Amino acid sequence: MKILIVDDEKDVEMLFRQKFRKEVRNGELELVFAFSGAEAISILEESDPPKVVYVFSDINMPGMTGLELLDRIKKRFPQINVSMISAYGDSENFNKAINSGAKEFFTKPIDFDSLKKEIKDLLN
Amino acid sequence: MPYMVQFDASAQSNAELGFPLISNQTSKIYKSPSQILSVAQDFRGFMGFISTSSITEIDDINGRQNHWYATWWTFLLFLILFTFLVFLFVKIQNKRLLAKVNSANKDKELTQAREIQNIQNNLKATQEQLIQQEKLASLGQLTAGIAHEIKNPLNFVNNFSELSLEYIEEIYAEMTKLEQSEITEDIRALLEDVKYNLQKILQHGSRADGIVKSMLMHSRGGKGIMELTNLNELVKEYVNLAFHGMRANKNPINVDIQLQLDEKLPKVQINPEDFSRVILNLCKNAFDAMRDKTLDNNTGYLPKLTVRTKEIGDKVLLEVEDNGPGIAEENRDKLLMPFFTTKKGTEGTGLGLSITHDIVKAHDGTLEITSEVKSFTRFSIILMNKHNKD
Repeated sequence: MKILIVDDEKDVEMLFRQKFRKEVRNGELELVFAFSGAEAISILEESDPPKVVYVFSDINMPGMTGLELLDRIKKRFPQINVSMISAYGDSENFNKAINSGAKEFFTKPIDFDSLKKEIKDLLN
Repeated sequence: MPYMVQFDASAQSNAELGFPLISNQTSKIYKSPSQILSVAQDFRGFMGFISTSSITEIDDINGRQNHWYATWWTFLLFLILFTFLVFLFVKIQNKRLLAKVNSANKDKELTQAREIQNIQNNLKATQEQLIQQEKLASLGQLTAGIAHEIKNPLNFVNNFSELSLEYIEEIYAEMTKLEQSEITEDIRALLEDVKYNLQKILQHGSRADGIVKSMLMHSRGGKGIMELTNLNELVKEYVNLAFHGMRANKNPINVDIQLQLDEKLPKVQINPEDFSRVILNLCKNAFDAMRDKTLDNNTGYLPKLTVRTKEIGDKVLLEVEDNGPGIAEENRDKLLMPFFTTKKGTEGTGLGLSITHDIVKAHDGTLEITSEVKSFTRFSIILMNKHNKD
């Protein structure tokens, strides 16, 4: 299963790769990273239909914000699950994300246990 | 014969004394000569101060006949004098009246000026307050911005140290498969140190994270909704939550919790999200204080937390009282200051009570602290319940 993680912080890649090392190693999971909204869109457009089944995106990013990315993904690829990960866990962001079709809303610092559970639910 | 003017007695005597005061009921004009004569005689006394002897003389010589020039010029002089006096009197009276009116006006102006001064002072004070608040508000925004910016790198510190700790456990597991030797022992000891260091990084990172979270909570203004809330239910829920939170954490203590809730308490207009924080903070402080007391002496001390709600007229009281060690005199003034804490080391951020106070203030309420060293500490929050009674 291919998962795309979008965050402008590059260290997020290392963090996710280490956190999901086992899942990646035994082939359950494939992680792809994008560091901006635009990059995320181009990754999704690489193949048709996209291989990515789940996108986790940060909200506060320079250029395209996570919420804009969410709108665009939901318009073009409604079958892909999108969840938001944000340090700003206020109700305004939360409502916007959920109303735009986000599946879940995770706050930073990321609770990897609940994130793993969310991904495992999808795997089964 | 010239016309004559009669004065009444008081006027006469006044004139004799040389006073410029003359009665108002003055001038009656007499035309009959005999009348004039008798009147003239009445005036002899008065004229005497001008030329008493000559008049007496004339009287002696002419019997009841007056010398024409003596009367004529005296009366003329008198008339002039009288006119002058009347003129003077009117002038003085006018002056007095004017002065009176002037002083009244002046008083009025003065009070007005004073009022204006007061208003201006008020305005200035309000302006200064506004500027101060504006500064604080921008400081708050700045704090929120900084807190957020710090939070992101801090998350990495915590996440990566956590990860590395997991890896060390994995390395331990792998190492048991190796042939044990002095080298593996050395490696194990080194790993033990690395693990300890990582734990410290994680511990202090979490501490910083707690401070940052509290700062965000602090600067977070005007969010959440004020709504009619059943305060009793909120108290029950969050006292319970605070208790179980304490029990699940390090060094749990046994506490006798007494809820004395006013059954007839009306719903209160509060921000339940903020107020739940108030209840949690006050309970947490009470638990921490009572824990300190249990550590100090173990002789039959039973920690007891009492939470009270009560309707007092149009106000609602919420009290959280513990039988802990109390608050030392020197610390009472500083309690509500941000970052002030008596908790040791990493246990407190010093923001709990400061946030609590801010929340209570935002509800137009008051926070009162009563404490006796070694006996009890009581936090009383009084809220106006102005909104309704249903």
